[in-house]
Amino acid sequence: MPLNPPRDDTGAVVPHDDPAIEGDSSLVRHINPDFHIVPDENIGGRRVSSNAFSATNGDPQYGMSVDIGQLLSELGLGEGGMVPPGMGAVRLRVNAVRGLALMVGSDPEPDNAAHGQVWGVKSSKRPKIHKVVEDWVIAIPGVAIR
Amino acid sequence: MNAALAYRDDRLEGRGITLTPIGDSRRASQAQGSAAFSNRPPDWLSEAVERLLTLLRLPVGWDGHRGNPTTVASASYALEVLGRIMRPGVPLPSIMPLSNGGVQLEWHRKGWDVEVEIVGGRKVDVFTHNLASGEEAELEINADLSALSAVVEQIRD
Repeated sequence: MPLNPPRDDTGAVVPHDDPAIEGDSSLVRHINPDFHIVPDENIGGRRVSSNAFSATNGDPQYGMSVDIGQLLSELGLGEGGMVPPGMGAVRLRVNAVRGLALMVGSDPEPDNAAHGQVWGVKSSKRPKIHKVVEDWVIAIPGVAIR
Repeated sequence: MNAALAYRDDRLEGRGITLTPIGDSRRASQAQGSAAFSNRPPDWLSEAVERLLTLLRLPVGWDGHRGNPTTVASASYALEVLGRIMRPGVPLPSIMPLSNGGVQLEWHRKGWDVEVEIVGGRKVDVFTHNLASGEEAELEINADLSALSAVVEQIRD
């Protein structure tokens, strides 16, 4: 079922937490193999950096883009359905993200009806989001999540 | 013109990033986005500048979503921060873009995770994690980088 997010006078979606997005649904965050991966001497290999969980905009929204698994499914797409070629992707669970006092809502784009945002992603939240990453959706070979 | 200034002219001019020798410290303190160093450029500088130039050239959407390229203000201040905290025995950190146009510097070594977020100029957020103790800390730093220098000392060879 398409969601109908609240919008401001300009038509932009405003931060909200949509109860229609089920807690056990997934959120997909894309991972750029060239710019989201760091060497980690502590684990002796490469892993995803917390920079992968950065908001696109700042105060007051701090919105981080995701694909909403529930909407992807309704569109007949898999979790990796909107991941650009050559990129990896990881899965977050909506409940886990809400457990960090963050809001999850839809923000459909012309080319991605399953696009959503996690709002409230200030710098202190990024390592916490990284900790609750569940698994790869599209793995990058030889790279650990944490 | 010394080598450092020639370096500035060749690589950074036009992008609003200025490298200023330490001997001209008053000008360094006044110039937005300046990085101070003594006499000759340190070994890490060329690699850092190359990486920051790459981040400045990122396309919108580089993160697979709506991510913005690194801003000149963030790149400039990242270079200044590096100029003030780098020392012998400290390897150049990973220099990573943030989707909001900021820069993250990060080291993962000596049993520590150290992440330094720079968005625009004059404000730095630091996250540290000691893997042995599990202790995590967050610091918000403005002009005085001494607290960050103390953190960096933990991961020095």
